[in-house]
Amino acid sequence: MSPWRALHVIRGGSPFQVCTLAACLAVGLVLVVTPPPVTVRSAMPPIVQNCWQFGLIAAGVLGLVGVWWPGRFGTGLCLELAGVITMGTVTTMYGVAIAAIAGLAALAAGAFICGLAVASWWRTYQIIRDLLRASRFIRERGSERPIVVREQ
Amino acid sequence: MTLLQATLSAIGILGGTGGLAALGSVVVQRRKFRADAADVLTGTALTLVKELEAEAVSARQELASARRECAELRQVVAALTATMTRWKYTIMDPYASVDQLRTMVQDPTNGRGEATGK
Repeated sequence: MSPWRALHVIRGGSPFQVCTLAACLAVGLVLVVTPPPVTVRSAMPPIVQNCWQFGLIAAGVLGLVGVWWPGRFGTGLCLELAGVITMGTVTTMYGVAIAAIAGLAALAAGAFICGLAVASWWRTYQIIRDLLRASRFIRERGSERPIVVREQ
Repeated sequence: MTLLQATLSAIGILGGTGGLAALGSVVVQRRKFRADAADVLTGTALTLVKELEAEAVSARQELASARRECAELRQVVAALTATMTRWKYTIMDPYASVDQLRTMVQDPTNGRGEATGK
């Protein structure tokens, strides 16, 4: 029997995730100086539009910082969680706006955005599950020092 | 406000609250995960560690078995040495007779102090 127990945590930072978060950040920054897309302007009240734009930047920053967090794994996971929840929110809002305003005319764009939204919520579920598992591990074996195993 | 705007606002509020809650959990988990001054391994490294662990267990078992065999061989060598010493003194005895030597060689314990089973 091993003298230690392994705690498996699925690691963020796959190329898909990093590029998507970076794109989110880039779009958010560009939208600071340019008007938002027509669908967003038509579907959201002005204050929600501003929040949506801020959400894009926040999602990118928090997600990327969380993925590359050099300190405690729990802190990195929570930051990444905040990032992916925000990303899930902004992509869901955009997906609903596209579907409602453009309908089938924007099928391709809408499908891609909805795919991103689903991926964000999926990753959110993974992080919450890993955090709960880590929490349970530490509660049950408080005296043991866990070895955290990061799986890509 | 239209239904669409209301829906999007609700999604935004819910998601924003979730994001803020996740940020808040950074502080909470720092206290909770104090034991997380933990070593971090990759999955590949864990596989290697497990393989090495299995090899170490097998090596320990082999070592124990080799030690047991070594102890048995040491006992046999000691018994044989004792026999040879006894035979040597008997043969070198100036009063040794052929009958005596024959009896000694035919000793059922074969000089080990125990029966061979034959």
